[in-house]
Parts: sequence; structure tokens; C-alpha cells
Amino acid sequence: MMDNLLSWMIFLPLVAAVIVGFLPGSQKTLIRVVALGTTIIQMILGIVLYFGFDGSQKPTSWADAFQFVERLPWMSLQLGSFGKLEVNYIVGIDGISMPLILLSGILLVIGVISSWKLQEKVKGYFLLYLVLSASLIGCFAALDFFLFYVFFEFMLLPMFFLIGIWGGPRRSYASIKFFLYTLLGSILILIVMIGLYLSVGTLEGGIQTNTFSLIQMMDGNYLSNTLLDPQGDFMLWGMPLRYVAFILVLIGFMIKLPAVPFHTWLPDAHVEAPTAISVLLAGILLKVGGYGLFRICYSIFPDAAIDMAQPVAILGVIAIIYGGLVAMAQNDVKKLIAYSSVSHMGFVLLGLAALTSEGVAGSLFQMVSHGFISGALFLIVGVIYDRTHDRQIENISGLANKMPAYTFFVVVFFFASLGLPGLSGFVGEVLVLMGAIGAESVNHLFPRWIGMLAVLGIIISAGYYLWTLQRMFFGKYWTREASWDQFMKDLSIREWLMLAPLAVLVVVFGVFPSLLLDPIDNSIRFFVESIFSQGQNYLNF
Amino acid sequence: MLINQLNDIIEGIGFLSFEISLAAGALISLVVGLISKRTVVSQFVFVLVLLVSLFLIPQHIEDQFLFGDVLWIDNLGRIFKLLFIVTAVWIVFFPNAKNHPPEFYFLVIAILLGSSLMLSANQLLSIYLVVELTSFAAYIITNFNFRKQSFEAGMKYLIFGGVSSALALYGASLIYGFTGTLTLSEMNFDMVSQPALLNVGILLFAGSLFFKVSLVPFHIWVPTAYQEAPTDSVLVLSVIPKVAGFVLLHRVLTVVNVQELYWMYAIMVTLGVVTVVMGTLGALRQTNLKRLIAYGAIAHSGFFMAALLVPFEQGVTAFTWYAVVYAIMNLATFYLISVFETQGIDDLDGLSGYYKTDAYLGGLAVIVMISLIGLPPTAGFTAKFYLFTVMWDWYQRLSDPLMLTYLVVAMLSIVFSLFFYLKIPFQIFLKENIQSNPEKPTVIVKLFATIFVVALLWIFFTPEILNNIAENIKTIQW
Repeated sequence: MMDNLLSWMIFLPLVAAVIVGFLPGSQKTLIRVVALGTTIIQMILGIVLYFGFDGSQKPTSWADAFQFVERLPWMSLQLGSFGKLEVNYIVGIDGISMPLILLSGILLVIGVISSWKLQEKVKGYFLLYLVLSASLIGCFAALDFFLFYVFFEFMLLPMFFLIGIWGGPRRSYASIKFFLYTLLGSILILIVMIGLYLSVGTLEGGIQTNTFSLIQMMDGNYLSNTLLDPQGDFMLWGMPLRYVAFILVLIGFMIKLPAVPFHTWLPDAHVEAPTAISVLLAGILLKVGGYGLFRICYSIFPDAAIDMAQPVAILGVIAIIYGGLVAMAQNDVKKLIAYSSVSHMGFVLLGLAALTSEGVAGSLFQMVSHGFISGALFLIVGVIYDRTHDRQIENISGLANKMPAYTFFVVVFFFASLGLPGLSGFVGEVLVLMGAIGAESVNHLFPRWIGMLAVLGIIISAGYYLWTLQRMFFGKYWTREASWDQFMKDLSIREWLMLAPLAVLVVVFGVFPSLLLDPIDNSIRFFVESIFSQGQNYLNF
Repeated sequence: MLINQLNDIIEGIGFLSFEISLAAGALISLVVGLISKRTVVSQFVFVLVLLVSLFLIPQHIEDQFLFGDVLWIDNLGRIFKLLFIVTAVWIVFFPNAKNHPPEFYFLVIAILLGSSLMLSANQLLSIYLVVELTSFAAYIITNFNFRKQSFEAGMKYLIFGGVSSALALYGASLIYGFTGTLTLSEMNFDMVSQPALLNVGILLFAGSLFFKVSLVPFHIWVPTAYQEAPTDSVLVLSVIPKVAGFVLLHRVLTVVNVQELYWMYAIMVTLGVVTVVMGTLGALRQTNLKRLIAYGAIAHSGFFMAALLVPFEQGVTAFTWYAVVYAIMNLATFYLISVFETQGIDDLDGLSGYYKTDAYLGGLAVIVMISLIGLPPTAGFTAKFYLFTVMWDWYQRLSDPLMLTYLVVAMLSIVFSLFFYLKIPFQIFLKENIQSNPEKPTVIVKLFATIFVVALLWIFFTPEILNNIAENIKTIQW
């Protein structure tokens, strides 16, 4: 089992989904137990993966950067003159994907707990949930572009139904918008995938073998005279074709991340999605976008990444500030958190653009920490929504008197999100800012003021979080409808179970960031080094 | 001399056992129809004829001319004959096939016969004859719902078809006048001194094939005909004459040497792009299920067209792949539509809340739609993906901006097609029931639907089963 840990994590939920499919729909508890059991096993495997991951290895090329690698041939098609179309099942992890798999494992369990009370169409819900969880892990583990793409697309369908069937009043609009935006992004990725496939491979004894292997793409085994070969000089719209490809993938993953101006699907999807799905959406699905930027956009097109660092960084800052300002103007708590997600994912973009080890490590740390925090924030909104079926900030005040334990968690997660030292949000943001401000002196990619501008984002987030705290939780206890009063009880055991572990994680990673930063350190260093050495190489051709 | 010709004809007949068995089968089914009016009997005869002819498809053949050079047989034709039979045989299991008059199956066999001959026709006159054979059967079969609207659809189809075949005849006479031969493979177009009128002739002749394969601007008959014809015959119409028409169109384009003749190439690319766009945009506002799928099928024609313009083995392999997957997708789609029709549902609104009637069938419909859009994990994705790869490769070799435009438009059309194909799952699962509950589908219906859907998934996961196709095609001069 240890040898194919990743496959277990990917396929176990699929098997469980089939089992759920055969259970009668009336066996609600049994279905929930199956889903919970499966996700708990997934989480345990994720933890085993974390401890089994050897962070002391210093990779010298992408080929030896991965651990827990499994390799199986999947399909091999004989096609005309360019030989064979070969797709392999390759999975493996490095320091970039390992934390995200761990994060997914934990949030998936919490998602099941938070949807425990769901009564409508339980069977369909958990069936789709399990399929979704499989494709999420698959996405983070895949080392073959085709495989990655399949998992990436396969995520959309369960998500579409989960939002569209179990969502709020405008669910159909939100789910279709989500599907269309993401599909547009993935079509852009598909174009580049085909281009890369026809450009990367080996030529042995006159036989050309093209490959989808991400490892070979990252190592830059280009065939000569192909469109994406760095030595070629193909131009399109007055730009080298590689830059066009970079921009296409960047947009593709920025839609998923989401970054301004491609973010407009996110607030709709979040507002309409049921609580558990919001948690997964903010906690894991957005990270798929970030992971794609790491793994595909930056690792495969380092030359373009170096040349376009400044515009990407500016996009990041725009996302940080714009997202924050819009969040401040919201009246719906869920929308507020959705826009704060946009703002926080801007840090991911900014840290990555800086291409210093602090910035990149911070960017990854920010993804993990935002996964825990935003997941918890959506759960918090779910708690109040379950009781009142309302999410307007102005309709409630003084909750601290009535629900002290709930208020305690709210304060912890709000502070974590606004970057209070000692909580995990702080570490990620500070590392990103260090990287971004330091970029001018380390690698001269973009000027200091970009990073300094991003600091404003923290102040803005402090603004909207503290303002919300003041309006909803402090002051005299009051609710708009008197009938809500009877439901205003403090947290139940189930709610404790979902919030407490996340609070512990947020504190632990805030106080001991090295728990996460140490194992990934070598991978991050290698990522940055290889981008620079390879990128300079490509640029000099 | 005469003896030689006779010998030639007698030898040639041996290679036509498939077509002859179909022709004989068509007559037999007509005669049986006179004796017994029961649908089951004619269905039985239909299946029998198809199985016999399936058995008579030659195992392996050398590419060669028959009857002088009237017909040309090759392995590509063999593959498509197989595909036609295997697709057509399922129509007896369609739930709406209960009450067809016996002549219905006679006409289907006629379409099969005409389309199979289209795969081999090598002479302008024989092309005209087999295209007309297919078309006449298709005009009549469109009326087989015996409603006022289907009569209108059939007339529309007939008039469009009549005009296009008149133009084709004129085009053929022009071609004959300038080249002095009726045989495609003997024609030699002088690239430099080509008179404009010959080009007009070629375009007019190709136009009649555009009509068969429903390329814009010859697509106008498609939505109405699909909507009004019996659903099982729509399956036949949407797959068999279309694929055969594309093969024939390709033969014409190869003779013209379309890759060398840039303006012709540009026209073909433009037609393909416009077809994709018009099909996709036209589908957006449809509410009738069959009309929606019809516009989708027009967009698919645009995809087929791309494969024709890529020469060499890649083009033919991509084309064959797409054709096989397209046939299975249409089989699944029209089967489901036929099931819905017997439950009294023929437009999108009727499907709302269908999951309460049968969630399983609804789930299968989702997979079929995903395949029509071209998303993994379905065969529809593999076929589109492979087609795109071939197009990119062609662009990479020639740096031809037209092909890049085609590729980009084709890919973006996927996003738009999501919007209309998704309406079906959307109605089934996301909307609440506003109509009375239709009766539940039977186990047998579910079983057939499962077979088609499993085929779509199976091909995605183990596409090697279609490798045989590539093996066979290698020898073909595409």
C-alpha cells in the first residue's frame, strides 16, 4: 500500500462512490458513514504522505524531484506520421504538491462533517462529493499533462451539480457561470497542452516519440523545429509563440485562482453553493489554479515568466487591493469572504511573480493557510445561516453575548485572515511581501513599490474584518426577526468538530511555520533556481 | 476485347457482394412487406439482411478499380461499411420503432446501399446516381411520421435537394467539358491555366456534397428534417449519408488537389469555420430536443471538415476516429431522445425534473451530453482532442494562419456548445417538475442506453481498440 499511496488516495473515493451508487437512497446514515470513512482514510493517507515525504533531498533536475512516483502505461495510439500518441499514468509529489494534498485530505473530512445534516438527495450529494474528492487529489498528483487535464476537467461536472442542485435560490445561474468560466480557461490550457505535446519528446534512432510527461516538459526536452521550441523563433501577434502560450495558460489558471478581472464567477458560486461546497471551492479548488501556475505556467515557460514578472505582479496587487475594497462594500457575509478570497489569492500571484525563494515559499504557504482559514470562514457563515437562513451583516448584532464560543472562533479566524502574527495567515503574507519587496535587489524583476502597495491589502482586510466584527458580534444583542431568537444557541458538538481542528491548525502553522516550510524548502529552492537557470538559457538562444 | 470487358465485370461483381446483398435484401424486405404488414416481421428481415451483408464485407482487400474505373474499393470503405451496418442495426431497438410500415426498413436499406456506394464511386455519373439514391430514400423517410409538419419538412428537404442536384449536374457537365473525362482519378487539372468556369463547375459539384453533409450554407434543411423525421431514421440520416458524403467530398477535393489550390483551400476552411459557428450559435436558442441536436450535428460537420483539409494519414485517421465516435454519440443521443418521445417529451421544458422519473437515465443523458461537448472522460473528448492535435501539427508544418484560425474557432465553439448541450442535464436535474410525471422507462430501455454510454466511456479509457483502424488505414492514399 505504501508503494502506491497516491493511487489509493485517488481511486478509493471512486470505489466508494460506486458503493454509494448501489446503496438505496433511503439509507442516509449509511451513505454518510461511507463518505466520512473514505475521506478519513484519505486524510490519514495524506498525513502518512506528509511524514513519509523526504524533505532533505536536493533535486538536481525535475526528473528526480518527485517522490512516491508511480508509472503505468495508459494508452498508446498509433497515429500517422508522428508516431504514437502515448499517455501514461504518472503520479508523484514534490514539495509543491505535498502540502496541497495534505490540505485537501483535511478539508474533505471537514466538508463531510459539515454536510452531515443535509436531508435532500443525500445519495446523489455524497456520490458527487466522492467523485470530486478523487479528481482533486488526482489533479495535485498527476505528472502527466493529459492526466492532469482529465482530472482538471472532471472536477467541473460534480461541482456544477453540487452547486446547481443543492445551492441557493440563484443556483442555476451561478453553476452555469462557474462551468462556462472554468471551461473557457481549460480550453485555453488545452490549446497549449496540444502545442506542448507536439513540441516535447525524444528523438531516438530516427523515431520521434512525443510525450505528455510534465517532467520532460519542465526539463525542457524540446524537439527541434517545433512551435514551442525555445530555439525556434515562431511569432504570433508580434510576440514569440512561447509568450502567447504562457499568457494562455496564465489566463486559464487565473480564471480558476481567480484573479481580477476573471474573478466574477467566484462570488456568485460562493453565495449560492451549500456550505460544504463553499469550503471545498475556497479551500481546494482555488488552489488547483495556484498549483497550475506553479507546475505548468512557471515551470514550463520560465523565459516568459521572467520577462513578464512585472505585469503578473501588478495583476496580483490589483487583485489584492480591488478584492479587499469590494469586500469592504459587501453586506452579505458570504460575499465578503468570497471577495476576501480574491484578495488573498492575489498574494499567491504576487509571491510567485517575485521568483525569490521567500516569495514562492510564501505563496505556497499562503495557499495552504488560506485553505484552512477560508474553509473555516465559510463554515462560520454556515453556522449563522443554518440558524437564521440569512446572511446580511446589518440584520444581526451583539452575537458575542449570546454565542460566546462561536464568537471566539470567529475572532480567531478573522484575525488569522487579516494576518495577525502568531496565526498562519501572517506567515504567508509576510513571506510574500518580503519576496515581493526584495525582488528588486535579488533578481531585479520588478520595482519595490509594487510590493509596498500590496501592504495596503493587509490594512484593507483589517478594515473589513474588524468592521464586520463590530457590527455583527459586539454591541447590544439584536436580531431583525424575533423568531430567530429561539435558534440562537451556541455551537453544537458537530460544529465544534469542524471548527476546532481548523483553529488548532491555524495556530500551529502560525507558531511553527517550519512544520510546513522545512519539508518544502529544497523543492522551492530548486523551483526558483531551475526557473532562473533554464529561463536565462531559453532567453539567450 | 469484349471478352476482356466481360471478364472484368464478372470479376468485379465478386467484390460487390456486400452491395448486392443489400440491394437484394431491400427487394426482399419490400416483398415481405407486401405479405405481412407487421412491423416485427419487417424488423426481423431488416436485421437478417444487415447481418448477412455484414458477413459479406470482405476481410481484406487490395485497393483497386472495378468495372473499368467506375468504382474504387479500398480499406477505408471497408471500415465505413462496417460502421454503417453496426450503427444502423440498432434502430430496430428504438422504442419509437414499434409501428413503422414495412417500407420504412426498405428505405433504410436503400440509404445504406446508396451510402456504401458513395464510398466507392469514382465517376461523376455514378456519384450522381448514388447520391440521388441516398437522397430520394431520405426525402421519403422524412415523411414517415405522417404529420402535416413532417410533410412540410420532407418537401423542404426535397426542394433543396432537387436544386442542389441540378446544380451538381451542371457542375459535372462543366467539369466534363473542360477535362474531357468523367472519371475522377483520370482528371488532371492544370494548375496554371485553369479556366474560371472549371472552378465554378468544381464548386457547384462539391455543393451537392455540401448539401449531403450539411455544411453551411447548405444546412437549412437539417433542423426541420431532424425534428420531423422519425427519431430512428434521424440516427441513420445524421450518421450514414453524412460520413459517406464526407468521404466522397474528400475524394473530389483530393482530385482537385485542394492543398495546392490556395483559394479553394481558403474557401473550404471558411465554410468549415462558418459551419462550426452557425451550428453552435443556431443551437443556443433552440427548445426542441431534436432541433437542438440537429444544430449540434451541423457544428460537428464543421469539425469533420477540418480533418478533410489535413492531408496524409493523420487526416484520415482523425476523420475515421471522429466518425466512429460521432456515430456512437448520435446512437446514444437519439436513443435517449426516442425514449423521451415515447414518454411524451419532445422539448427541453418537458425534461424538467426528469430525475424524479428516472435518475439513472438522466445520469446517462449527462454523460452523452458531456461527450457531445467533448469533455473527458468520454470518447467525444478523445476524438476532438485527436482532431485538434492533427490540426496543430498541420499548422506547425505550414505555419498556415487559416488552420490556426480554424483550430481556435473550433476550440472556442466547445465553450458555447457547453451552453446548449448542458441545458439537457440542467433541465433533468436542476429544474423542478412542472408537468405530469411521465411513465417510467423499462429495464430493457435502460440496458440499451447503458450499452451505448459504456461504449463512450470504454473508448476513452482504452482507445487502443480503435488502433485497428489506424492499422488498416496506413496503406490508404488519402
